[in-house]
Amino acid sequence: MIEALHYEFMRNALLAGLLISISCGIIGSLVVVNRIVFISGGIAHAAYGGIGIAFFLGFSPMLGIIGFSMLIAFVMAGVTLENKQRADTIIGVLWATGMALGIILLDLTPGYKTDLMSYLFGSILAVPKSHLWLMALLSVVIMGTVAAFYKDFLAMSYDEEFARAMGVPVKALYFVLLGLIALAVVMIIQAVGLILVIALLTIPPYIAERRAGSLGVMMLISIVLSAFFSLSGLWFSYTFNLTSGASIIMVAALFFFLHLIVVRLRSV
Amino acid sequence: MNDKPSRESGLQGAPAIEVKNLTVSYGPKPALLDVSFTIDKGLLVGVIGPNGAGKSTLIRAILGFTKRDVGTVRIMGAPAEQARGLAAYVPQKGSVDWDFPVTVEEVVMMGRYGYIPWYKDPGDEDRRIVRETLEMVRMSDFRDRQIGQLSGGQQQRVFIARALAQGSEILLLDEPFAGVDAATEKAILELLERTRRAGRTLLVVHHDLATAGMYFDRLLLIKQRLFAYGPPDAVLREELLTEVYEGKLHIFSDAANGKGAGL
Repeated sequence: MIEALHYEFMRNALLAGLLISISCGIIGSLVVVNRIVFISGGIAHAAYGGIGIAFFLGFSPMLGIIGFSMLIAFVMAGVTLENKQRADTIIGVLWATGMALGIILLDLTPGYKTDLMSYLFGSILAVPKSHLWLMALLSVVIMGTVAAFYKDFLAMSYDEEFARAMGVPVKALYFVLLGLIALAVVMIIQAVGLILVIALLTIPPYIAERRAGSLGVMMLISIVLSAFFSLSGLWFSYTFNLTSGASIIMVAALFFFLHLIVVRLRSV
Repeated sequence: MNDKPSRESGLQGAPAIEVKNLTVSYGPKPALLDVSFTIDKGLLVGVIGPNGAGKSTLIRAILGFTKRDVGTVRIMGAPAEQARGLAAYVPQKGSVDWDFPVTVEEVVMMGRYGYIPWYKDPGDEDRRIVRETLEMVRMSDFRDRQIGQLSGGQQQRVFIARALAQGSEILLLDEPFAGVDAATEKAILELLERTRRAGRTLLVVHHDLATAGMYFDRLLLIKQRLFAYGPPDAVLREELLTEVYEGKLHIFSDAANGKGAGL
């Protein structure tokens, strides 16, 4: 692995992995404790619509993903607040509609679309330097926002009704949270692709939660776990010439199931 | 925040809780129908009634968590909407996510959030109040524990502490004795009595008629409508309970004597 660091793409991949882990740990923890894994999956998949729009209109796919997943995130936030009882159905519909829109628009776009697979399955080994800067910026936005509203996020996640009674602007905060999820999704897509986003977003926090006494600690442990999964996944990918995104997820999944077994054995 | 709780919004000498013609419905079915009562300050009041009688709904309506169809609720003399911080809710055990990574101290600190603007962190004053409150409920030694690692009685104490840290004059508790052992029940009761002695008013949903007469200063008997409000002797009358519980009351004679094991 050390000799691999001579390659710029490998250094970029490692850096991308670390940046992604920060966002993943912070946002993933909020996703898990707020039980909005399904919404996150929806945002990630619907992001494909953004790729379609970008290719069709001929602008940067990254811009398309960011814009469209933010839009979908806000629509989903509105839907969940308005229609709690059937929110999951509507999220499922938006999930599929976003993907379908992407596929149709790409059909309508002439020319060879070389890097589509990388959006579906990730391409952390092909992250260009310009994307690293974007990722760093997104990480700063995510960290800054969560740090600024930490106590409000904690109150909302823990006991929404009580938070509201205490004057925490729960609705506005919910829109902010889903917007941040969209930003995190944009980053994670780079590593593992939009199909596998949910796993990297949820496995580290799930394992971390059992070890954490507070939400902040849960985020920190999640970051460390995400980094570990990303880097060891990268090593597997490099050493055995495997798809990087899937390797990262398989490492995470392996630890997830080991964790489940250990927890089960301990409770017997 | 503009709906910051304030003691000043209450009128001196006003009753703690004043409910007039309260009607709440979920869809076409009324959960509460034309309920009116007045609770004076410094009382420990039990809310009794059969399952589905609207006991929790009553508490939620007083807190403003549930929309009222008709009626008014006044807290310490002020309309409930303006007095939110004055009445605090102690949730039912089953409605709390005990796996959530949050410590005892953090939960109690949440009671202070109404006083802290969103752009600020808790200050010295908030930390002092939290520390004192934890001492009062005797949970200081557990301040850094994750809430899931506490016993049932300790968990109740944390939420009572959160309500006290909120500076609330009125505490509304939803079945604090549900699913706890006898020793814990006694400890929680002691804490409720201590809280009342500190001048607070407590409204407690309770399902065990056998103990209701011993635990509370006043009882509020409801089943959609208010059937009685007054001292236990006046409420725990056989003809009244038979009417409200409709034959689901098998051990009434024991219950009235305070020897029964409950329903």
